[in-house]
Amino acid sequence: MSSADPSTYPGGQINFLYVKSKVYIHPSTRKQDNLPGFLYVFKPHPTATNNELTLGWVAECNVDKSSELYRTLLHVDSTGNEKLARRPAAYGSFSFALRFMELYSIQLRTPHPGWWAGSIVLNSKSGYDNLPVLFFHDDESESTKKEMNARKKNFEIFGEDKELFWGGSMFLSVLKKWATLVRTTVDKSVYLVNPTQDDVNNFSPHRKNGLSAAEDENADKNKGKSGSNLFSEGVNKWFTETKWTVLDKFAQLTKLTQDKLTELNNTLSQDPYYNKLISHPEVQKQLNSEYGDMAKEYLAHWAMKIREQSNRSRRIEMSDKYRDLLVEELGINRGNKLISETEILNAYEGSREVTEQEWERWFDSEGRLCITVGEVEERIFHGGVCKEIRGEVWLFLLGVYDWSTSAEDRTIIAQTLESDYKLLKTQWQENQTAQDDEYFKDQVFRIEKDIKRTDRNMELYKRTTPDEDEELAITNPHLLKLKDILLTFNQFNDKLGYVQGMTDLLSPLYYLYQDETVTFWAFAKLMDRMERNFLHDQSGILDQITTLNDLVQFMLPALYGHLESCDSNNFVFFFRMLLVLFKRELPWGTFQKLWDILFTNWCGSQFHLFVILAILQKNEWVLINTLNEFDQFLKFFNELTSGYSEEDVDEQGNPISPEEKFDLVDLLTRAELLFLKFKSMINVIDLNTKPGELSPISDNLRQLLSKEIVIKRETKRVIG
Amino acid sequence: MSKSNLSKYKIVFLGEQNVGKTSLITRFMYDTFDSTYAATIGIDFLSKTMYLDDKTVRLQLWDTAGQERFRSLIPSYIRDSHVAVIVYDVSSKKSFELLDKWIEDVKIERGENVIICIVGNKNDLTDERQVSLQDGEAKAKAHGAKIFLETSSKLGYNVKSLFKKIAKTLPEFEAAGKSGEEGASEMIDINVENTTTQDGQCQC
Repeated sequence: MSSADPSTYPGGQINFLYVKSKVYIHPSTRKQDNLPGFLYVFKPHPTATNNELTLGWVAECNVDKSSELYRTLLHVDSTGNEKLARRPAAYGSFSFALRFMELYSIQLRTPHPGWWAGSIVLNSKSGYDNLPVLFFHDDESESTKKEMNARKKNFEIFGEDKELFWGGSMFLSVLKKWATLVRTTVDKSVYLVNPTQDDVNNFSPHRKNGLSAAEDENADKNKGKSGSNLFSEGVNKWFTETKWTVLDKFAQLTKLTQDKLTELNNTLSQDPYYNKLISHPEVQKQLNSEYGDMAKEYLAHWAMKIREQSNRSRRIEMSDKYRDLLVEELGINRGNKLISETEILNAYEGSREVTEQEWERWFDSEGRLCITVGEVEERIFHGGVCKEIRGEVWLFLLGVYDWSTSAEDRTIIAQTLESDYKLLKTQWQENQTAQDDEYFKDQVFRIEKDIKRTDRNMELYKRTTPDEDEELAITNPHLLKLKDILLTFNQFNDKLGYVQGMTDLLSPLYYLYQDETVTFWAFAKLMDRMERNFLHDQSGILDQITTLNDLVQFMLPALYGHLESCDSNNFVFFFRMLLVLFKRELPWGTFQKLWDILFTNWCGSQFHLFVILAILQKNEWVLINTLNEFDQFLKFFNELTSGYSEEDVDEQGNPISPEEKFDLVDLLTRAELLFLKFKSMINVIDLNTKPGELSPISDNLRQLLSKEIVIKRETKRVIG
Repeated sequence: MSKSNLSKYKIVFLGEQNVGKTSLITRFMYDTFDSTYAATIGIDFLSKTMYLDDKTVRLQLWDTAGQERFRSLIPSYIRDSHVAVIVYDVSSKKSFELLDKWIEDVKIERGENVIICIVGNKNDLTDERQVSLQDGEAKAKAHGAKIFLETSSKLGYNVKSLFKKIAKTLPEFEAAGKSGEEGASEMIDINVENTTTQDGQCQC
């Protein structure tokens, strides 16, 4: 490279050190909007230091295909050799370029093949420039495919952290030639670029007002944060110093939502059928008559049904619009970046269940998990699992097997569990004294009564002969196994013992395994999470009702106000949903899918409270406008799934199954977005709470962010 | 009672597990019986409109869980109830002995402002009977229960009669009830009533 001026390259060119083609920007959730481009690193002049190297991206459409620049970009990408060319234009869609010294951190978000592409999030030191998230479409990049093949030949398909190689991780290893990258401990997916000692030491969640992904302690691994900081300067201006103003602002925000909601529901009142019905003199008379209550209940269900149907068609036919409407309805103001686009996008991809093949791909030849637990949890959270693998998946999710075990380890564990169970069972089964105990006899009586009336419509649990007299003896072998499991549990957790409602939790597990030992241990693990619901003093369930009360007050103040004015803010109508985790409210397949999601703890171990919050949010208009008494609310929630008639048909006249009617996907989407909104609100309030100042966020609300299951044990045995 | 506002009466069903509270309600509401009806957890509630002459009332039937630990929820439901139906199982002495506790709970919440009704259910289980009719009557008398009946939800025995008697005690029908005691029942027309009732044998 001979040049008259050694401090510049000839002809004002720059030197491309690295180029990767087919690196995309996803400006919206529509595939057709995805923008392919080149990610590059160049040296601006021959004497430039590493800190002066420039990292940038330019859209394919902004590079003339006949230009020298285009050929150079392709050349550097395919050969890996550096080459001189003119500088890419700094203008154009989403193009950016910044010097290494301006880079603060890089977050790597690993791909899920067939699910989403891997991406990187760049954060600059200024924190304010909006750097787009870069997606590596590895299957389209020739150079990446070539390198992967080469690695496969050498059996080097895993990177240093045992993660699969992909475009982003390769980029990172190239970057290491020119910059020091320090992986953060708070979020292992984040690398600091040339950090100062202070950056490394003072790594706290509340550094600067621009909260970068790296600093966000709660940042979910691989979970989308937009390229910019979670809260832009604009948002911070919104929230002034005092916490009360913050809360006040949120109230305003929610009021905005309320207006939107009203607007949305005006569509309902514009519905010709609704208007015809409501304006009919007979209906008016009924509404004001002694039958007003019944008419109201009917209207409430009818309105809910209309909404459900229109939601469903909205989602199927206009998924983008549905998303926009929902985001607006939930008061997630996109401009304010309370929640990033990627997070919103992820929440909407929640309808594809994990298949057997996908599940198997997650394990290596020794049966050891080869992706991270976080990835597994996030994936299962967004879609649940298919019924063929549900039993196995639950053993991991519930903690019977640790994720780190190999297939061989699990065989050994299974043997231990088998002998442990036998031993426990012997303790009561071969012990006459134990069996003569009054408490034990009571429990046998209770258990027998309850298993005879649990899920008897299922083929597995039906009577062996139709005219069998079960008052004399139970003969269905599966019921007898349920009985043995519950009596052994009664022995195993002797302080808690058997309590009504447990058969509802046990029966779905037995149905999956149809094996006494495996079912017992899965049940015992499930009971760790559920024990607090069954305590004699009911404190565990009351804790949840209290938390729900706080949560509704915080997230849906208008509805809370209405419930309060109707003396119905005690939320006891959710008792049954809480006690047996929606088992009674939802059809068989639907609650199992919901359990898949809840067991991941991905959005906290108490995500079921957000599901209830979503039910309230979804029906907010109906609840505020048509119901005003405690018993009406109770009836409404008790009949959430039974409020539909057998004749319900869709637009094409096909019958709608109960699963479709309940529309779990819609509810879970709402629940996740509400969770994300909640999390952001807590973050903002924390940022605005001065050190030493009492936080307005109650501990029980804060606990909703925790993934640890809440365990509360019975302290002594109480009869009854 | 204003004409534009239908009177609602709240009736709570209490008693030990598996004595047949839900079955009684289901028999009255739908005239069906299913021995495999899932145990009630939390609170369930159904409402039914009853007609008598030109009067109409709405009955709210509140079904509760029997296990003791779920009882802490119940007081709020008892609070504004008009009638408490306390059920035992004639084939379970224990469920009968525990009646006292339930009656006490009701009295603590409502004092004398509630009509107590004691029902011995499952009287079809003749071979397994552990509580005699006389014992039941004596207990009802001792507690000042206005109504005592033995029923069988399984056979539909005395169930409609039970609800007729309950209706008779409500303010709307009180006049009719007082004017002709036994004869009053002929004036009551419950809309779910079939002609082929197995009513009769009122025990009080």
